[in-house]
Amino acid sequence: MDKKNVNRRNFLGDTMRLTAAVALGGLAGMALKNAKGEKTVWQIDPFECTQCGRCATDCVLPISAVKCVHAYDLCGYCDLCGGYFKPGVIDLHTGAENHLCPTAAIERKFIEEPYFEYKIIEDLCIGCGKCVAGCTSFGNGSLHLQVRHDVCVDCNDCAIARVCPSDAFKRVPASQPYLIKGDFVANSSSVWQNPV
Amino acid sequence: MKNKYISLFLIILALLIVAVIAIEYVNSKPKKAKQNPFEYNVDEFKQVDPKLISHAEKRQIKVKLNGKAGITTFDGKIYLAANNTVSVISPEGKLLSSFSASDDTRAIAVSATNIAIAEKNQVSVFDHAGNFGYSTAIVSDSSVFTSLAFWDGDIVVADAGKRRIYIFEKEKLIAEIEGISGIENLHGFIIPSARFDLAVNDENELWVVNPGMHALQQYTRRGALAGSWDKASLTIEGFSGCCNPAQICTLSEGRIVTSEKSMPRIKIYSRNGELLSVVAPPNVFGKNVEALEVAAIGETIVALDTEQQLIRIFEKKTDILNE
Repeated sequence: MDKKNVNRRNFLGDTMRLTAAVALGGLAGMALKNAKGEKTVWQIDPFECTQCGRCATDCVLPISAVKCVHAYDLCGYCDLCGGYFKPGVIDLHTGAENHLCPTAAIERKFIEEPYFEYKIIEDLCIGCGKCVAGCTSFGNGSLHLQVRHDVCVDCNDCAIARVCPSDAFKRVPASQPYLIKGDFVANSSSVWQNPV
Repeated sequence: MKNKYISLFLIILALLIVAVIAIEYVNSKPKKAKQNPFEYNVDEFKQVDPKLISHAEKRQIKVKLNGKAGITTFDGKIYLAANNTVSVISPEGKLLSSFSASDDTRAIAVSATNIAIAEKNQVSVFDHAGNFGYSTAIVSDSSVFTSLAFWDGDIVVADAGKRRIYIFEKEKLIAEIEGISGIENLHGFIIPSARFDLAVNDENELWVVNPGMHALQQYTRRGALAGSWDKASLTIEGFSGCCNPAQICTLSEGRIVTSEKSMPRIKIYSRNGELLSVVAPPNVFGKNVEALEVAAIGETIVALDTEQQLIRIFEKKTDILNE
């Protein structure tokens, strides 16, 4: 029986070839998986979000890709909106001192007595979620945070997802990239498992 | 010798890289992250000055609720309408009696002779033995009855769908209250969601919640506004959101017990709207608790927690009773 001559040079060469083969195989497998599977994007599950404010501070973009969105169907059109007004306001007027939003990104519009509509100015919104916390705590929770895909650069390792204390950041199918309250209910099967 | 220095340099570089990655990993943990300037902590609103809290939870009675339910009290007993059944329960949690009612039990009222159950757009009346008596006429298919009470032998019903109060004499509708009362700037009932409660107190006054206005209003049988107060505030003194107070019941001397949604809390106000005490602050309840329907046995407050499937009994603290 022939015995192969094993020396250091042959051993290193074999190891290098094996490592390269495994790496190439892995890459091919991943490429195949991506090619076969549906593309996914980052999104926030509004029912898991705790409005910690990290979306504003930890996105890699200068102004976060996370914005507040408004599910008008759920809104009570409150005069005293917990998402718009700072607590302890004396008069319910639109003066800057009454704004809870640090960038005044919410527009309050009179509809009819006693209803008011609240519209998010997305260019001003930094995704801090203060209005969401107020609306969720005092109102119907119609304001909620979503990743805007026209802004998001879809980092492989999302910087916000890494620090999200409630694991609200999830990968969702790119064909259904938003989880808007009202259209989407808690624990929906459309939300994929968080890979982080 | 040259290779030795290169190796040493590479090892130090590798260690540095590992150290930087480790520090970055540790610092990026949510709990290790530095203070966030945008955090809005609403926990302060859940804290209530202990001096304001007049009641303590003494007992919880487990119930099984499969859908809408209503609760009230009469003659020291708890009446629960849920799961096609009216159950009479002692404050200690003992089932005293029960009878079958309709599939759709949304609210319940009890008098000395009758038990009335509010369904979507109709009221069914039974005697205390559970024998069906009559049903009220259907006013509208778009009615959504949310509350009812006996008033001088008649039945007064809150309809969130049509934003009106109806008074039925037996089966027949005899009066409607629109909440306008001939006053120019009085808007009527603002009902953004199906939260529209009423109660008749022991002085025979009808009090109605106007939830969109954060107001409590007293009406006469002819629909005239006899009294009103409102308190819109994010703090404990008032009501916030679109539809608060969501539930009420009454105590002696015209006092009103209010129960709120979103920030669940139960409070007692005077008939003039002065906050007298807090029965249960928000931190007593769970995360997803809806507004608890409330009823009273003397100074004891009975609350139906549909989320946790409990009847929660809050008794007045003994040191306050002695004052």
